[in-house]
Parts: sequence; structure tokens; C-alpha cells
Amino acid sequence: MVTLGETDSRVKYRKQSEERDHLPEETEMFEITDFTTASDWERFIARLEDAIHDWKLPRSLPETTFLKDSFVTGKWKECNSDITDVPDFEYLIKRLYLPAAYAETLEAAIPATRSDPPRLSSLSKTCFSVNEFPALFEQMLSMENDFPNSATLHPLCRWFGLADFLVITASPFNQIDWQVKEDRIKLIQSSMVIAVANTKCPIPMFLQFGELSRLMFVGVSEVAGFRTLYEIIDLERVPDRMKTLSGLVEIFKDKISQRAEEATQLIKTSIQLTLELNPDEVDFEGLSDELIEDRKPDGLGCLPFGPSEFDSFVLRLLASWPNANADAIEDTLLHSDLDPLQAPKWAVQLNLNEGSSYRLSDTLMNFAKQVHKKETVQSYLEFLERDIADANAGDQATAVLNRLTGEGDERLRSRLSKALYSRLPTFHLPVPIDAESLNEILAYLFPDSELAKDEQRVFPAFSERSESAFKTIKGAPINSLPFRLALTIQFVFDNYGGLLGVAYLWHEILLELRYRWENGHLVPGVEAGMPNHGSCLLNQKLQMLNCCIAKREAGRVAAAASNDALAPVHSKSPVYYDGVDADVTDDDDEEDDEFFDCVTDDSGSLPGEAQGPVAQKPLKPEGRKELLGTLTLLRDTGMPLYVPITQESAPMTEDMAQEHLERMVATDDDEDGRAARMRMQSVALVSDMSAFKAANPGCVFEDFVRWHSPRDWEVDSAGGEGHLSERMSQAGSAWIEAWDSAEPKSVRKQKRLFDECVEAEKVLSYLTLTIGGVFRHALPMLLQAGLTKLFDEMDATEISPPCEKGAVLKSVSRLLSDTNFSWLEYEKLIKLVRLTEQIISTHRTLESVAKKTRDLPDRDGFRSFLRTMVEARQLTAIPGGARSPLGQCLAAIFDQRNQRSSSREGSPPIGTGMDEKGLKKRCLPAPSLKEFILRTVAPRPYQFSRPGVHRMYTSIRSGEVRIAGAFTEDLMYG
Amino acid sequence: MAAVARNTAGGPPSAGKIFQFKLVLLGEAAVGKSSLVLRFVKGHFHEYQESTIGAAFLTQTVCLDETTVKFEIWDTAGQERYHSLAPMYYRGAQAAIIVYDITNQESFNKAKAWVRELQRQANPNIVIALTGNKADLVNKRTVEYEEAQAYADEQGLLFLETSAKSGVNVNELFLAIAKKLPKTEPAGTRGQGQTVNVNAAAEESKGGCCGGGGGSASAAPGGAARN
Repeated sequence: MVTLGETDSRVKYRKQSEERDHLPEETEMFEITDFTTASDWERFIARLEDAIHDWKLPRSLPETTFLKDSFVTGKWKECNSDITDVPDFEYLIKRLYLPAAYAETLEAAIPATRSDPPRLSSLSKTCFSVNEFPALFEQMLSMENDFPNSATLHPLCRWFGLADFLVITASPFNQIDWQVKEDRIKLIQSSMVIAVANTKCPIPMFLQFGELSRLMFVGVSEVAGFRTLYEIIDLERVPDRMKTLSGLVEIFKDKISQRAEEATQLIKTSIQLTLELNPDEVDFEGLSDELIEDRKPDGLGCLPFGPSEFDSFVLRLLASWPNANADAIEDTLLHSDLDPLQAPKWAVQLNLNEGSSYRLSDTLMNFAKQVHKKETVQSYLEFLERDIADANAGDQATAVLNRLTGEGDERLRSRLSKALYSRLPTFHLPVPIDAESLNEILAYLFPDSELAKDEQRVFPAFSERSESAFKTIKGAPINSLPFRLALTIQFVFDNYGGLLGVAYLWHEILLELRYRWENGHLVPGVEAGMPNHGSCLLNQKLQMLNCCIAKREAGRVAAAASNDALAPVHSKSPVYYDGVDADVTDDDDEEDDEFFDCVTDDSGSLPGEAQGPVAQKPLKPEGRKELLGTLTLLRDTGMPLYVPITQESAPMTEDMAQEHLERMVATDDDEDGRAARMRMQSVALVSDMSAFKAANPGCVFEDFVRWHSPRDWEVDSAGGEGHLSERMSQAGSAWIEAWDSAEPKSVRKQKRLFDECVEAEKVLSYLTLTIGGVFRHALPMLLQAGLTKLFDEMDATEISPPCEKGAVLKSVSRLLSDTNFSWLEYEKLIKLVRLTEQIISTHRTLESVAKKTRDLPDRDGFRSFLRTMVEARQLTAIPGGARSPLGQCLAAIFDQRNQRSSSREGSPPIGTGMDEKGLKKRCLPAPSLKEFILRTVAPRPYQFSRPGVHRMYTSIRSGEVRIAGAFTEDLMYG
Repeated sequence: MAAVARNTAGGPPSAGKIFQFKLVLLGEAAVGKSSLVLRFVKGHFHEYQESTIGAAFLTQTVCLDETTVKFEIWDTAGQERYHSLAPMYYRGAQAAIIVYDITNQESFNKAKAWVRELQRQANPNIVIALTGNKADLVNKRTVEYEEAQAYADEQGLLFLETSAKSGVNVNELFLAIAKKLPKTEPAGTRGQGQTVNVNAAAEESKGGCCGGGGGSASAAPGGAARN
């Protein structure tokens, strides 16, 4: 081994030692220099050898051959190492290999495979004794893994048929090798040659150079006195010579430098042509009108489904000629024998494009992404606003709202205008949603309005799914207002200026809600009753608003009834009627009148006047609701016991309930805390007691217990006098305390437990959201709608989709019930939705393309074949190729020309007795990829050398030709 | 939080983990709901336990083989007037004990009504236990054991007769519930637990507030009974 730069390095070491050490005896040590690894280059080689030794790479490859398609099905293993300590030679080394588990020993393989007529290895083996033929050559000659069908496979496996190799790549720290310099590559290559020769490692070693994405390699291997050099040519422009098999064979022969007449006999070739069918190239003309009808624009109340434009899948037809004699095939620019229809082997595969966009999943994803937008709706509106009021825009908005209110009610309209003007922004930019569209949207959302009745449009509605698990999703009922809101937000977001449009929409919706609150119209399409804590918060808030509206309306109706009688002036009282306490008192007063015969009522019913004195007189009963059976007061036996009108327990949305529970938990557990908790809890109890006292003058605690907690009033079995239960009669109990503190006050004079005005304002101010909040609150319903859509489509399709409904529902219900929304899980969900969507619509497209085969036999077989292809997406061999019934159908759908025209010509349908003419008619697209593998065994470099194995892989596609050649030289007789 | 979810979701019952569950007691007034809880949590019994106003909140921890189950117990008032507040408590609860008084047929009818309401409105995976209390007053019994047992079997409920006074079956009741509660944190219960965790647990471990009822990591270190 040469010792380049020996003196240099010795000087360097000495210098280092002098700098570092002042101890004289130690300087001696540095005189010992390893001359073999003196230069960086030599050290680099040594490191390469180290790696080979460290990994204990075998001296000879096992005598095995890899099973068919094991390159694709097998599990590749890799080892990694790096060289970091040699300046300018920082490299990563990787060994990639297929474990022997996927191979069978040659002995086992031979009987089965050797029957093939002339095998190259058997030819070449004549030159070797049986045990000498290197396993590497066996690998290069093996045809079991030609054209592996895998996108993730390392290209070297595909190009050279290798199942075990080393690759050296420049490490990111290596500054030198980013530019490709010929001499540098030669240097590394010769390092590899030296390392391989020194270690006798039979495994090919490659250097990857240039940009990683260009996949350029050089490599070397040495076995049994043969050196194989691996080289790659990659050209953007395809020279004519490289376009055809014949040209390639010439190149191959030139490289081996053999005289033509001797070599041609031996050159074997495997050929594969790939034909692609892309959905955007499919000729649908006159084929399927229904497909085009399917693509109607998505309106309000719908969710889109399917591909954005075209389905993104590729149907690949692989036509191949395995192990043919290269000279038997004529493939020149003028004439080619390589007609896919004549290929002996056909296989077909459906590939889905992973990155493509599908509309339902995109919709769900984009919608959810808006959740993070922090800007307020107001800030978007300010963008539209301007200082000087623009009469037109203002008019436009009021005009819309006026139409909503209906023509008839002059009073309400004026109230509306008054209420709105202060808030109505005037817009200087054109509003994102024009008046007509806005009308339509509002008509969709609020179908009870006059506007909707004018529009008279029927909007699509979702049908409820039967899956019970749908009910576990915290959303809102199908087609309810929150549900339609979510769809509308999505619709506006997509079609009317994105976030700005949504801000404007939300603003309009809030105006409408406020209008309804102020004018006492219930919000339509909202579940009746108390907020349903099993639904989403938006639904609960709207339910809450409706509770407020209903309560106020009830009050107002009662008030109006009495005021008509008493003081007609009141009917023109302001809409903010209920805000005034005196008025509320009126309501209740009148309610009393409706239900009860109040003996001393003459003056009491006059609002405002008689109240003071009434409150002072404890004996005057107030706020009675009904008799409590036949019970009478204990003390005053003549008086019947009345159930008082009580305050209804306040409706609470989930967040309010949570707050309440939090407050309870937060109190300390000592006596004070318990008392505080008790006070907090006993508000309703005290209210009930007050009302009871007011309704039953002269009553005692026992009377109250008989009504409120009858189980605590124990009557002796003899039917004698009853008494309080022991627990109730305990002195100092909270009940007695509360009883003592309760003043006789009818409900109308009590502090209200539920103030609908306050609560309604709270709801409305809660709904003044950030733009992200709007999306966040609508997301549950959009997911509900999306899943409904997806499941409907799944039911409509014949294939079994990859997603399991129950699991999806479970995941959605978990996502929506979690306070911390898990994006990871959401993305997983959307990915699944996308795949399902893609598969369903791909199948649909293929089905319509398959209509081309309507005249062919075995059409049903083909349709079920399509189904399995979409479901499994595996490479499927078509036995019999183009001649088989399946092959005919495939050829038909690949046919560029319209099938219908040919059948119109009157050619008879192709029967079972298939004729060549029928096949010839097919006009398949030009192959998008042609691959050739040439193999031979020939002596090189000289005639008298031992014959070695040569292999050349070529792939030709438009704009690229790549040739990967492995050529062997005999080193012994070379 | 995601980490917590990954750690526990779908896994086997994790050893040494603390699970937190929200439990609610429902039933007619004066059947002994508060007494049961007090017997379980503190081991006390008051002959004349004061009638609950609104609801009371207590916690107790139960050790089950390898796991620890922390109950957050909401003891509600039984009076009819408080009925409308009940959903606030049973929504999001993973377990419910419906109590009746074996000496009172009416309270058993009421218990059946509660079962129906829960089956309709509560978390679909809720574990419901039917409990006939005051088992010490056998001679006053009006609800037969077999009748209640048959009803519970039919509805798929846990069933025990207990006596808060003597302590018979009280711990067994809570243990049976703890055993029946899913420990692998399935979809249904995790989110439902959120209301529970607003309390002390949230302060003690930041990740707790959504880890949910099943919430392994969210459970308080040393989160012993509250009282």
C-alpha cells in the first residue's frame, strides 16, 4: 500500500505533540506512525474496511436465489454507519439487504426452474465448476424479481437486481461532494475498489453522488476474480439509438466489445411496457351523461363529495415479455414487435394518488383549520365599514331585515330599525354576500320568516342516519338550525369571500337572533326545552335563548291580556317591556288573576298601586297555584293548603352548570365552606319557602314539609296526627334555619332566580365570537353532516370501503367530547374520510368507464374484478393477457377510441371464438414507460477471459432515459 | 394531553394507574343516599342524617388489585322539586347508584323511573347500580329482594341490598361498581369525565382537565378522599 504524504503527516504529528505536550518522554510516542493510514484518503479506505468488518459481512454470498417478488413482499433490513473523523471524507454507509429468509437454496430451486429453456446461468456454468459460480451472478441473472412493483424499493434493487449492497452517501457535513466532480468520484470509486479487494467482500458497494434526488450511483463488486463495475446513464433527451430495443442491444454489445455474431445468441431480454390510464384522459364523450349530471354545483344545504376535478388514480397495465431472446424481437423506429396486445403477460394495478384533494375531506379539514383564527368578527366588519354612512349599503341591509320582519307589523319594524341602526355598520366595500344571495341564505336558515315564504325555495335536507352511535356525538339534531348554520357557514366560506363572508354572515345571524329576542319570536329549528347537555354548546346557547324568549313572551302575553282590559295605553308600551321590574310584577299579578280567586283582589290587581300595602299584610295570601289535595293548614284547620307558584329552576347550559359545580367544589370543606355551599344551594329552597309562606298565611314549617318533602311527614299507621320525621325536626338543621330566614314573599316580589333579560344578553354576547369561534362552534354539526354524507355514499356503493362506521363515529364522538381537541386524531380521521371518498369515487368513475365494455362477454366478471381492484389495489395478473375475457375488457377501457362508434359500424359483438381482428381494433395508448433488461454471459475484456455476467437495465419515459449497466471483467485472465 | 390519551387509549388495564370516575346518587327523598355515602366515605352513620339540600360532593378512593379508582361522588337531594337539576349531575357521570328504601314500595317505583330516565338521557355507557337500602329493617320490608333482583337483571343493572346503618354491603357496592367501570378509558367515558376534573385534580396536574374520567395521569397524586 502506498503511503502518500507520509512525511507531511509525520511533521504534523510532531507539531501537534509539541504543542500539546511538554513532557519530553511523550514526544517519543508520536514517532510511531501508522504509515498505511497516513493520508486522509487512506484513512477513509481503512474506515470503509472497518465498516465491512464491523458488520461481519460474509466472505461469500449464500448459494441462494430469491423467491419471486420477494423484493416487494420481503422485509428489507438495513445497517447504518458513518465516517466522521476523516476530514473531507465524511460519509454515511448503509447496507440494505433482503434476509435469506426470502430466498431458497439453489439446490431446491434448480429442479423447478431449470426446466426453462436455455437459462443463461446454465450456459455460463459450463465455464465454471458447479460450486464456483458466484451467487452474485446468480442474482444478476435471476428473473424472479425483474421489474419489482414497488414505489418504495431502493432503485438499485430495480436496476441491478441486487438483494444485498452497500451505499456510501456524502454526509451533510461533507462540503466537498455536493458538486459532482469527475476526479473526485473516481477517487472515491477507487477507494471502494481497494476496500472491496482488501476485504474480499462480495457485496457490491455503491457511491451515490450529485443531488440525492437524481439518484446517480457508481459501484463496484469483486467475486471469484471478477470485478463488476456498475454505472448509470441518465439523460433528459432520449437519443434515437436508445429509444428501441434494437438500439439498446447494440449499445450492450459495444460495451461488452464482443463480435456481434457470437454475442447475439446469448443475449436475453425481459421487457415491460407500462400503459397508464388517467381519469382526465378518459374519453367520456357519449359514454355517460349521468356522470356529468352528478357534478352539479353544490348549493346551500349540501356538502360536496368526490374529487375536486378528476379522480386522481392511475390504472396501470403492465404488458411484459419475460426472458425473450433479444434477437428474436424486432424493435426499431420503423417497426416494433412489441405490441402490448401481443404481450404474453399482462398485469394490472390501480394506484391512488395520495396527495390529491377530495372535496368532502378537504371541506372538513379546511373548516377545522379556521378554528385557530383569533380575530373577532367585528374586526372583519370594520374592514368593510367606513366613516361616512353609505346610504345604499345601509338601506340594503335594512331592506333585507325589513323583508324578514314582514310588511304587516309597523310597530315591530320601527323597533327593529331603532335597535339596529346603532349597530349596523355601513359598508364602503361591496358586501361579500349580495342581497339576493343573503336573502336566500336567510330564508334557508329561518324558514319561518316572511322572506322565506316569499322565496318559496325548497332546500335540500339531510336524512337522519339510523346508526345509533350518531346520537353519542355532541352536535345538534339533523337539519336543526345549528346544523344548517354549520352548512351555511361552510357554503359562505367557500363561495362568498372566505372569512370575510363568514364574518358578515355571522353578523347578520346575530342581528336576526337579537331581532327575534327583542320581538319575542322564537328561533326556529331549535330543540324545545331546557338546554340539552348532550348536544353541542351552540345548540345549548340557542336553546337557552329560546327559553328566554319563551319566558318573556309568556309574560308579555299575560301582560297584554290584562293591559287591554285595564289600560289600553299599555299595548303600545315599549318592547323592552320586560326589562322594567314593575311590569314583570304586573304579569305575575295578572297570572294570579287568571288562575285564582283571590278574595281581596279588588285593589290588588291594579299595578303599581296596591303592591306596597299588600306586601305589608302577612295575612293576605298571594301567589297560589293550586290546592294541595285536601290538606289543610295544621294550625288553622279551616284553611286549605295551597301549592304556591314557585320560581322555575333556571335553565343552564353546560358551561353554566360546570361553573356552578366548580363553585361548589371550590368551597373549603370546613364549617364555613359547608355553610357557604349550603347558602348557594338553598337559594331555591328559600325561594320556595317564601312563596309558600305568602300563599299560605299562618302556615308552619310542618305544612311546608308536607308539600315539599312529604316523606319527612310521618303519619302513624293508626291514622292519627302526623309529625315531622326525626331528621327534619333536629334543632338547628339547615331546613329550619332556611325556614326561619324566609320571608313571606310571592314569587313576583322575590329576587328572580332566572332573569331572562340578563341571560338572553349573556347568550347574545357569548355568540359575539371570534371568527375562529364561529367555526369551532359549528364544527360538530359540520362533522355530523360530513359523516352523514359519507355514510350515505358508502351505502350507495357496491364496494366495501376501508372505513368502519362504528369506529369513525366513536372517534368523532370522542373528538367532540374532549375539551382538548386532538388534531392528531382529527387528521387521522380526515385521512380515512379522504381515502374512503377517493375509493368510492374512483370506483364510480371506473364503473362508468367500464360501460365501454358493454358489448363484451363476461362483463359481470369484469365488474367484480374492478371492485376487488379498487378494494385491494394489488397488482393483479391477467392470465392469458389480451386474449382472456378480462384482458379484452381491459383493452376496451384502455382503448383511446370510443367503443360505441365501432359497434355502430355493425361489427358483430365479439363472441367466445375470439378473432385477431377484434383485438387489432384496439388502439391502446403509447406506453408511458418502457423497461428493458438485457443479460448475457460473455468473456470480457478479452476473448480468452473467463465469461462473466453482464446486465443492462434501461427505462425510457418521456423526458428521461436511464441506463444502469453492470459489466464484469475477468481479473485473472484480463 | 395527547400523550395521556395515547398512553392509555386501548391499552390493557394499566397497572398502578389511578382512574377517576364521576358517580351520582339518585333516588326518592329519605331513602338513605347521604347515609350510604357517609358510611362509605367516612364510616359514620347518623340515625337522623339531615335532608340534603341541592347536592353534596365527596370523594373516596378504592383500591382494586392493581389499580386505584377515585370516586367523585355527587349526592343529590331526592325531593321532587330538585328533579329538574338532576341532569346537571348525571350528565357526564360514569356511574350512578339509584337508591330505594326496601320498606317503601313507592321509593322502588321512583327508582324504576330514575333508571328509565338515565337509560334515555345519560351517557350510554353509564354503569347503573340499583340499591335497596335500609336492609336492617327486614321486618318492615315491602319490596321483595327477588322482585328487585329480577328487575335489575332485566335492565342489566348491578344490584345489592345495603344497610348504611350496619354497613352491610356498602363497600361491596362501591367495589362492584369500581370493578365494572371500564379501565381502558374507552371513548365514551373519557370525554364524559371532563366536568369532573375541573376541581382539585386540575390544579394538581395540568394535563388533567381533559384526561377525563378515565384519566390515568390526571388523577391527583396522593388524591385521597376529599373528606
